Amino acid sequence: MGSDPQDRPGVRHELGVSVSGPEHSLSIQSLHVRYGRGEPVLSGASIALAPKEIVGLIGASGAGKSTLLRAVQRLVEPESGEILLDGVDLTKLARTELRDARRRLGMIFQEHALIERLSVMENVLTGTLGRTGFWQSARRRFAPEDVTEAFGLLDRVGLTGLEDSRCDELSGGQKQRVGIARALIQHPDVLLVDEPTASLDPATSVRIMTLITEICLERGLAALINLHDVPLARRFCPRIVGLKEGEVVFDGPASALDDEILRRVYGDDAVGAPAGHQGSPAGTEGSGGTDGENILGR
Amino acid sequence: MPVLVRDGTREWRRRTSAEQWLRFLGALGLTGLLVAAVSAISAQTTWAFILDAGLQLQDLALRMFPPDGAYSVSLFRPLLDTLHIATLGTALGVLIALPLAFASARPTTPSRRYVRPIAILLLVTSRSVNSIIWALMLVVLLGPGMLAGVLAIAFRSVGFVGKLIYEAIEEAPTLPVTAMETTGAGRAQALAFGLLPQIMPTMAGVSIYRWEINIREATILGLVGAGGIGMALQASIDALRWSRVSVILFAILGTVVFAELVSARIRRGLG
Repeated sequence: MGSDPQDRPGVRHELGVSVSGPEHSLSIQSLHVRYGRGEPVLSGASIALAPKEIVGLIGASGAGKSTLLRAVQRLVEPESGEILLDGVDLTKLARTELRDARRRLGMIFQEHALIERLSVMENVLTGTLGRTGFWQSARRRFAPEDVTEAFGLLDRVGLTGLEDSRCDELSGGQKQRVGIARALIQHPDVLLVDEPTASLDPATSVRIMTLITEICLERGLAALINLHDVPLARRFCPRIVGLKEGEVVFDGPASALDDEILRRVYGDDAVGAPAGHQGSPAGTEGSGGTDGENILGR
Repeated sequence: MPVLVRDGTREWRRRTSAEQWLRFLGALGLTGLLVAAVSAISAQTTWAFILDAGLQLQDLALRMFPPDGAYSVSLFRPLLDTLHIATLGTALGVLIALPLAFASARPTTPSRRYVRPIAILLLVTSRSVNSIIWALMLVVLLGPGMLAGVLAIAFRSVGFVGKLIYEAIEEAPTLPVTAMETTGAGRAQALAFGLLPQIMPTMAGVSIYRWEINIREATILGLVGAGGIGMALQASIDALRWSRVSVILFAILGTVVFAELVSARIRRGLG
């Protein structure tokens, strides 16, 4: 049930210097995952995140993007492959060690995954459960420094003064901000972000992506971000990995992402026929309205 | 299946012929069962009694009125006992039901193969025995009195409350629990934060609804000696004091209406 309060200062110290201090890397090597006896969802996907690197993961629905993030957290057990966090293979960890590893991997969810009936503050503080004992958390006796940090994070994500609101009163963008604060109070070494903008309007999507990437830069966090929106991925992620049917079919700088590669990732229908639409290049950032983007933006 | 190709055009029907026949035969069977049941009941009925029921009703009504108003004062204590039996019984029932509900629900059970079937069996057993039967057995075991009544109410409530809570657990979205696990929370913490708040409204609503039902049930437990206003009812019927029986029936009606109003009020406020 949670870590001993005594080792809290040590943890805190290490994390306090994470901007300039230890650099954390995540390396996923030939990961195989299948659900039950079904078709494999991931067949040998490999992605390595250098420290502080922001990587966008794109691919069609069912390509295995969410499964990949879930497998890194071992919410789904991989069949084979390695997940190395700072060189330690997460697939080999026992239950208690896994809890600590999960604490170091901050996760932000597509449907924000907040507890709707609890307040904003309570939701943010659930991010500290990995270091808070059961009874302390059940009685909502969170450590004072955690509460102070939660207030600071709410200020940072733009939710000042909303700590007492119940989460089901918030807008979609605000909920996602709570989700970000919850992930950050974990003091993660790496962020795993699953479709952060899936249920948001375009303007809010841009604001949320800006916030996430800014925070990664501020805190020197590496991040793996699932995105179904190619223009958004191209705009915010310097490096893009394309997943198709459980395999990495593209891995390179966002600038290298062209129609040919989009066809490889999404199939031939993904990009409008060159002759079809007044020659406007499909998938160009922010241009909007081409066939290619409509399909990709789905 | 219901699409037929006839002369090259596609016809659509709601059901295939086989389905149609199966439904017809099913309806026929049910009608037959109904006829058989009615004739069996009718064969065992002494129609002579039914024919003079009107007279009997008139007679009973005359004996009940006017109600013995002065008697109502001495009903205060047994009515209070009835409320106590219902309230304590509900509280105890909910307390027992909670762990059983978690053991019965697929996402939270410690073992689907062993623990879950046992927990569900206990819930079904609790439901399949009516409060008055529980009371009958408990009076034999513990002697007459309110304790037997409280336990009878509790044992009957366990199945009802447990079933509704475990269904709520199974229907609750699992994503928040998953989210809690990704923070490094333990299993108990993940459930306490990711699941409990989601089922809280159901838990409160079901408990209050059961309390309301239990007040009704507690009014008759006295018939078998398990305390409450039913004891007074039994005594008055045995003594053929029909003017008191009517007072008791009005008192029960008043209490039940009160309980339903309170219950409806509270449940409307939950959410």
